[in-house]
Amino acid sequence: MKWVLIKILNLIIVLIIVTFIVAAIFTGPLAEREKQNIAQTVRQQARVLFQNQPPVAIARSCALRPNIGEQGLIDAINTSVQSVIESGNTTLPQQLSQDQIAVLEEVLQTVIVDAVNNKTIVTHDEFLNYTTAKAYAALQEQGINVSQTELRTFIDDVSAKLSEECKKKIIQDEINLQIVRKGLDQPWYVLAVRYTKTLITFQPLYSTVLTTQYWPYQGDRNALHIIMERIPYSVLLFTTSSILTLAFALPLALYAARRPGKTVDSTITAWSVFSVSMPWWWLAMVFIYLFTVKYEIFPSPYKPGGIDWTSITSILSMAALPVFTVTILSIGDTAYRIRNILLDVFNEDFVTVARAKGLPESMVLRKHVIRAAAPPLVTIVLFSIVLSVFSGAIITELIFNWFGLGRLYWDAIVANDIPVIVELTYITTLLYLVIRFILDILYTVLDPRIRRA
Amino acid sequence: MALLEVENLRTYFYTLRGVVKAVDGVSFELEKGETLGIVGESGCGKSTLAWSLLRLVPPPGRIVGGQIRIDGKDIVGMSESEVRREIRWKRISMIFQGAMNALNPVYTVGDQIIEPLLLHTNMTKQEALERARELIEAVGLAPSILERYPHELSGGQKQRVVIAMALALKPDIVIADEPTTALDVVVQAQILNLMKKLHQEEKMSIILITHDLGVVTELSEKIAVMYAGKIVEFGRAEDIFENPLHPYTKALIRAVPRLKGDIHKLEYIPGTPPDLRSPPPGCRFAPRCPRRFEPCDKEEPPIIEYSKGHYVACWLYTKR
Amino acid sequence: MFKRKKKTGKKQLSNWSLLLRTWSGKIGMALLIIQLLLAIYVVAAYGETGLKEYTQSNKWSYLYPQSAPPCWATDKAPPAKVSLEDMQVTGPEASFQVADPKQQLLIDYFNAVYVETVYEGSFNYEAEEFPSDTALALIVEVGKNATVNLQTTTTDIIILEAYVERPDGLKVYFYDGKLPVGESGTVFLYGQVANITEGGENITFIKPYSLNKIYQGALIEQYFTSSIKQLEEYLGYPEGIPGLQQGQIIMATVNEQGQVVPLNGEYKVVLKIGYFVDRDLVLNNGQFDPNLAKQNDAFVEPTVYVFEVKPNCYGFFGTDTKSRPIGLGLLFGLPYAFILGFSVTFISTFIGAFYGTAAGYWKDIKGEIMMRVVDIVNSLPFLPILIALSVAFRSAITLPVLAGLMIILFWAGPVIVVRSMALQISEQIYVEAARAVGASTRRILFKHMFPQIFPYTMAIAVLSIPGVIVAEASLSLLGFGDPAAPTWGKMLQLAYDVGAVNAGYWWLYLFPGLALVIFSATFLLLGRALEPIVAPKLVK
Repeated sequence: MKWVLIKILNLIIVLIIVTFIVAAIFTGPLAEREKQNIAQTVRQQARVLFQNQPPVAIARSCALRPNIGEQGLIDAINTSVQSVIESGNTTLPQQLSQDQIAVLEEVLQTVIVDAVNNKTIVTHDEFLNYTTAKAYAALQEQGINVSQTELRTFIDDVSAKLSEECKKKIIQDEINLQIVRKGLDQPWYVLAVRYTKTLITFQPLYSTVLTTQYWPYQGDRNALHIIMERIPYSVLLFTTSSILTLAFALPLALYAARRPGKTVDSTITAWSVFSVSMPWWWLAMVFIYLFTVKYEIFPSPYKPGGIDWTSITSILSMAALPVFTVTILSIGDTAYRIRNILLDVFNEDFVTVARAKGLPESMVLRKHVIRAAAPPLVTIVLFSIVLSVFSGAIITELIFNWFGLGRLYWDAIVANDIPVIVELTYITTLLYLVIRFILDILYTVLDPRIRRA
Repeated sequence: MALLEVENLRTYFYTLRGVVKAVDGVSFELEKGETLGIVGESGCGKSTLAWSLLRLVPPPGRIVGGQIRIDGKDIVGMSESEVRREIRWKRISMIFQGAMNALNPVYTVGDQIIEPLLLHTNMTKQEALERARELIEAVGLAPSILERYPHELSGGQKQRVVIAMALALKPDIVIADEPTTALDVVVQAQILNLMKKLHQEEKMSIILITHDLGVVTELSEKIAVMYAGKIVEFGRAEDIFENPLHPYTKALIRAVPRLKGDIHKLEYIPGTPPDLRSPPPGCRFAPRCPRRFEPCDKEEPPIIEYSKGHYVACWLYTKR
Repeated sequence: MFKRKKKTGKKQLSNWSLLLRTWSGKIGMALLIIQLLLAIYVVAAYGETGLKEYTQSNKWSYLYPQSAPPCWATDKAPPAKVSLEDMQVTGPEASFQVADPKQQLLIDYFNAVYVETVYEGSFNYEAEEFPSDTALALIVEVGKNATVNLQTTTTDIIILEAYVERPDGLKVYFYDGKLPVGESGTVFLYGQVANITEGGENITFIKPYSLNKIYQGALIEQYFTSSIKQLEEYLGYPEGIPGLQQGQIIMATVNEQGQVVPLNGEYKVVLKIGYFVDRDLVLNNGQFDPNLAKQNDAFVEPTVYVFEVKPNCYGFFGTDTKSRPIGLGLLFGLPYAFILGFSVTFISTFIGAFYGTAAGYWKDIKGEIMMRVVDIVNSLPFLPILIALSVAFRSAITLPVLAGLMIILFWAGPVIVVRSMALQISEQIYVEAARAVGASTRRILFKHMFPQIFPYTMAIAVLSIPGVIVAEASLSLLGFGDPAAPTWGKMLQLAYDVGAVNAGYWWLYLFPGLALVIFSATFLLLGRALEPIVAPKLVK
């Protein structure tokens, strides 16, 4: 059983590395998205918090923040005074000379800081009274005579501006603080590691636009749920068509392999060439036109009013055409691959030995040819089917408007919903790797040469 | 009546580029308990001859004429199912060449040995396994090998398993197609000794097909020399070695290195075997023959009895 | 390990000629040569700017009908065109009597004269199918003094009638009224100044404009729309005729079975211009003198009057919703397919071959690590990762970027096979010998091992070309194509975006898809023919 452990370990390592790559590609947009979320929340909180707060209280909380402090407050005061003067709405500065204005600025700065530091001042009126009185006195001292009412109005204007400035500073500071707290300021590789962890442990990533439709409830923004809801539909489509493909391809291949070069064989060869060289979704377009528009054999996937994806009958009737198309497309190549493997086995000596032993042909086929071909069939054939599902079939789903992962890709791309794209990439990669892993195990179980080695 | 009579057997391959006459009018007889060696270069039709005897010529080849009689009963005209049930493995079994792929890699050795037993006899699986154990011991292997997979065995072991498998139903005739090719010399000797021993014990007829004259001398009482789909010389082993008649036989014998006897230069046969799609009109060996003369290119030599039991097809010995 | 017959150089050469012995090789080779020649011709004939015009030029809608199906697939509706040059002109005739008493006042009190000219042309329409569209251009030149001397009055004085008279006698008016007061100079009643780039040069001309989608605010809009409305009511379809647009309804009638069919017969295209003008400016001895009128800037003349019936089909392949001929797109896509397919596969195979050789040469931990990397790249699901990368590089996607992204995912493909070949070669005596005489690693890799492996990998490259082309198409469909490059994938994307499947525009996706299939199949067939050479049987 040691080899299973080694393979599992290998799977996990590959998964981690691949996830890391995916996370690294999208670290920037994901972090940006988180920062935006933080900013939004902080602004909302601030709006509630600062409601009806007098400027002095806001200025006080501004000065109390360690990252802003008194110096930040002084900067804010200066900016406010400057902008009020520049705005020209108040009459006071117009009476003063340049030097006097400089004095006024200096005075106001000290006075407002004093007021903010004075815990007894609570209301706006108290603040205005206090500051006006103090500033008036100070200006008198400097030999500048102004009207007290004018000064009061001026300070009122300044304080209004100051409260805006302080709010801005506080919000920015809070955002920065939270960004640091959440580690979003870290370099990209640290973030990438974090997102890798998020993905691998299936922690939720929240979509920006898309939501779930049915499960667990309509409107869920958890990207994982958005994807999970669609997986059963994709699985239904592609397991059904894979099983049908094998059911048709195996007998065809057996027939062709026993008559190489004859009609059936060359048909399969040509069929495989064409099905490999065309984009599957293109034939899907052609089939939809042929079978739903021109001849109305199957229900149209573009029903006006949409399709009910909860009703079994509706799902099954919608599945008919995609299953038909994908099966038609994959039979050719699958049969060709099986035929090649069978031809190889047919030429093996042990098949002749089996015939020489007097085994009837059916038994030769069943016991020797198919059994011996099983390991390569599993790896090459099943794997190629899986591969095609993960490449061409994704878009085929989109064309069929099928409520699966393929269309989700399209939806996410159109909406530029990065979290969903990241999660989708991760989940498809995970599924792909797990299926590969299972096939690998199956191969090992089937082939004694590998099993015992 | 001989055990096996082959008369004017012709097996042709119908390929896109023409008909390949791989076996073209071969006749010989084999008595019970006799050993016949069929010698020739590769591509001369030896293996096709062996396949023909089992009616297992791979497509696009098929037997187009002649008879193969076992105990006087022709199997060429027999139905496929009758051949399968009555002849294959029961009357004629085969030791395959190159042991490499004669065993199915996904089944254990035991499974493959008991397969014909379960098919052709009424044995239960237990009895069959018992018989398989006997067989495997008879070829000098430990019974534990029955549970092993082919890839776990060495070349020599595999060859022994193949031999055991061929003996499972105690057939009248065993065809051994290059049984020692691809084995190293020591193992080769072991296998040959084993076959000699088994031949003596089981009293079966053996048809040994090989390109190696040395192997033939070890085992065979009679030798048929094949060239380009035809038997050119047939006789008892001593006769062939001591008095080879056909120039091809002579050349073959000279091409074998010897440790004892006259020291002479090791020779090779110049030229290549003819294209069997369009063989030369006369004697097929004529283009390479050092002693070719005027009738050789025109007419095929008839096979004549040169001395008792020693047949040759060469104009040198035919009076016109 | 490989079980491979030892081949001499000569033998290999004959193996390559085997390519032409199998049927798949023959067909593949023939297809390749045809397509290669076509691609070379296209590039030589159009150049890069010519190719890019397919996506970037706006000229197409002026040159070809929109969404026209291939002509072989439909009953053809023939195009027709009537323009001023082909029309019969009656007049200009001066008269002093008009029906409207208000206007009669002009003549009587302002010393004016009424001058009328009638232009009339016709065409025959004989078809079972409707045209895809009709188009009209109507521009009138009004002399400065044709109105100026009468400005005292508020009565409009230039009267213009433009209509199509159908075989059944009904008239569909484009204009039936007075030109706005004070208009002088060039009056654009309908039509567009087309400004197209042809081979990098700007060409300006007047182009008839679609009547199906008559543009809002055109001078003819209200007249034409109400005229069509009347016709619809007359035919018994007051809510509009399903499946037909305004420009097509001009020719609609209802047959005995009650079906809407195109009306066959002779259509007359008429333009009548009349204006009131000071007699002194235009009359010479009581007769209208055109030279005098010109001299005095007192003329009203049409400069452009064109009525076009657009065919309902175009060529063998049809046109797309942007009026671009599909056939041209198929041709233009060819060089891009070659460039993309070859560059991606050959570069990635080259990288893979070299990487694999090196990994096979270093049998120590270095080679082991290299193979781990390959394992990881190979275990990526190709399309999902490619989509993710494309999303990340979304804004910067051009053909080279796309090629780069694909190379990132493709290069590891051949490494495993190459490595096992390299392992085998590196054990051969001459490599050992080279190592023994102290040849540098680089020399051994490049001089001894790589050249032997290279031909095989190039054959692998041929087999992977279809994958690249299909991947490009898939990405284009999702919107990650190079916006400038006219690839088949982009044509398919357009088809998907405009809902061609449901709209029944099958030619929009059928032909690009077929082109893609033929192109890919070419290389698959060649690859199949090469398979016996390329894929020596692997034995476990």
